[in-house]
Amino acid sequence: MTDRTEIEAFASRFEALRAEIAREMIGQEEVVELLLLAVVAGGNVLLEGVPGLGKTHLVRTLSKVLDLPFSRIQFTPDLMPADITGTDILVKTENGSEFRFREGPLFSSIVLADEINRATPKTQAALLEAMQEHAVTAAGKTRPLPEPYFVMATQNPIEQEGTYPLPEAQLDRFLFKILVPFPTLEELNGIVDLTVKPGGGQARQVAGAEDILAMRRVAGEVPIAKSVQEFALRLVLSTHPELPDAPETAKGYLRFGASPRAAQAILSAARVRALTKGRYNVAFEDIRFVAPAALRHRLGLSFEAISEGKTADDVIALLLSHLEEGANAQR
Amino acid sequence: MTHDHSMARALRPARRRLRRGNGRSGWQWGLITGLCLAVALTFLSFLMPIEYRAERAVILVLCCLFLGLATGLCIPVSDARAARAADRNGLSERAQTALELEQSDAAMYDLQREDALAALNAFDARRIPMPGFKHPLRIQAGLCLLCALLLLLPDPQKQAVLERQAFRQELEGLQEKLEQAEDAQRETLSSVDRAALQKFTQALKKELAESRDREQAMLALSDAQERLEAERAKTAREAAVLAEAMRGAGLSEALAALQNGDRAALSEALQNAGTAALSAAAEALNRGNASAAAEALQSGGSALQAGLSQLSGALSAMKGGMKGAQQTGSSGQSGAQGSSGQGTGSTGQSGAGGNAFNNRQGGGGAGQGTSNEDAGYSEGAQQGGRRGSETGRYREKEYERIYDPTRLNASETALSAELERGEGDSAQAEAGTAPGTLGDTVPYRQVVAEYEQTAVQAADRAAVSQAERAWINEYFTYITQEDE
Repeated sequence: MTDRTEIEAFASRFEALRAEIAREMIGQEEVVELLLLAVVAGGNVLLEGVPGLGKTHLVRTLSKVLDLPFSRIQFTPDLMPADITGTDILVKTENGSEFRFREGPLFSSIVLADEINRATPKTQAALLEAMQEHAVTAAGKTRPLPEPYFVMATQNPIEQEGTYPLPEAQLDRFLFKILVPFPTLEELNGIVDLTVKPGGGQARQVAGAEDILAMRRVAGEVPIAKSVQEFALRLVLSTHPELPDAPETAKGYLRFGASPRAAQAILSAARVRALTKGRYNVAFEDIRFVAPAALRHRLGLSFEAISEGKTADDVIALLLSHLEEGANAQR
Repeated sequence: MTHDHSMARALRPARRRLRRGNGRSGWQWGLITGLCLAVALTFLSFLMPIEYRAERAVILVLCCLFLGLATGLCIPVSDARAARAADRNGLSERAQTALELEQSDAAMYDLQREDALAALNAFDARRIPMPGFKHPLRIQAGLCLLCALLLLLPDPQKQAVLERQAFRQELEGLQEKLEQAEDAQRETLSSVDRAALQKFTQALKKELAESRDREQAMLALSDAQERLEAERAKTAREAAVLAEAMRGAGLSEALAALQNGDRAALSEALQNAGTAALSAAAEALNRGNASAAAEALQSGGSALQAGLSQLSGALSAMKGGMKGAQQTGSSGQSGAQGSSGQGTGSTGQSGAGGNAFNNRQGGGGAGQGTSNEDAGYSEGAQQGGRRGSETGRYREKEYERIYDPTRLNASETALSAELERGEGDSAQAEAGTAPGTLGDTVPYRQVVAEYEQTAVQAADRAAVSQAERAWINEYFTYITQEDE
């Protein structure tokens, strides 16, 4: 059981992390906040944005402020699973030679899977175990990965030659899909100032692995009122068009809905956010804040939605408003 | 950590605010409901006559308004509802969560509760919005306008309403007259007759009050009139029986005088009847036939006495019947004070129904002295005045059959009186010996007087309570009054 000091220190630690990242990351406050929420909640993150928005830099900065082992994998079509999980290699020893397991880049606390959709499904599938179970099975042996463990994947939204869309099973393993927007004029100005001029800001380490694990433990104890939890669960259920009481939005715009992992993702991330806001309970606003990031990659848009130009975020916004209307009517 | 219902206390301002909101909603919707009902009432008044429709509409509106207000204020506001309201207005689900976790002890929950309490203490309950005026006000204004318009329109049922009001006034006048007639009768009637009259007039008043239109009122009056006529017919039948009896007793002249209402002639006729008997006796004496003279005197005296007795009863009956007919007939609603045979005599044995009772001379208390059931008294009580004439016939026969032999020859006959006091309860007392022979026919009054004397003496001697003695006295007072 956590003590009061640990709980009360949570918000300040989180704020310190954010402030330190902001030294190297100009703008993108919401992206940073969501990334940190996912880190504390213990989830993997899929960052989506056009090239050059600083996705890789963000992850690298995160590893720097947390002082955690970091590895980067550039996914290409010819990347093989053994390239990322590791493999047995023949090593000469004093007694002769023997096979030793050489750990792949997955054996780090923070793994950056750059342009993950460029790898073949076979290689993408090699990430599944690591992402879900924090373990790697290679050469018939399962090896645990260090804790905390995160996979930060990036992908480009533009359809290009030689890309393989991620399967739903893999997408479901990501706690959040964070959209990295193009910076505003002020932000771009800051980026230019920071990178072009010499002597730019350097992020420092402000927390370690133990701190992250402690924060995760504290966040797991944040209470949720029944009505709030029910709201989150109803939101997930409302994404299923096949259910008899599904809203018209889901029936019209969705092919399939979010899995129960989505509900877990929403609630665990909402707990963290509540603490970062100085509250000791989850509020509806926490659910509303994390829901798009937790749901957008778990929904299958219908042809009707695509033809009407609706995005997953639009559908989620419609579902949220539908639920809130119902809740208001009940009050 | 002790849980001292601090959350409930902290939520009190929010609860008060919500209760006030309920009250406001209550009176607003009550007003709307009242106005809807008022519009319906006003609209209905075009289809059927409704008196005081504007006043009733206003009362309806006010009643609904206050009922709505009271209902709104009485609706309980739970802590959970107050917490939800506070959370919606800036507390970010703090209150709800704290309320749900009130029984938990973890450090996180303690912190959460403290946070929620601090937030609630700093919370301004006025931030909870009250139900708005705007929307209900539009509806209320619309309904008010509609109601006013309907009230301003000419009422097609106005004439009918006026007629109904006039009719109601007329009914009130009739009821007043009925009460006056009843009051006038009250002075002159016995308690039983008063009760019967009161019952009759109350029934008539009730029927009149319940009648909604003239037709129903007329029907009620007609029914009462029929009952009155029935009473009159019965009185007439009894008078005819009496007249027949008087004729048979040789009192035709007295009967004529009685029918004419000539007191002097009646007195003279009775005197003549006595004189004729005396003349016959004198003639027999002159012939030296003493026994024939005695027989003539006796028969003359008996006939005279019987005639007087019958006359007295007839007078009483006619007096009551005529009085009732005159009084109630003059008030226009059927007097009928002599409703027959209600069987409520104070001694519990008399069918005390007005005329019938007055004509039932052989009934009450005229027994041989063994019980009230003797001499057909009980039957008179049970059958009541059914049967004024029937009772009179019964009296005449039984009277003579029972009394003549014993009273002629049994001067030392022991008498006993069983005094009925009600079902399953009786007392018996020795009544001593009967007085001497008085003739082969004995007048009723004489028998009653003797019977009373004997009964009172027996009661004085017997070990009976003071109340029972008083009861015996009351009994004889009663039957003597009835006879008069």
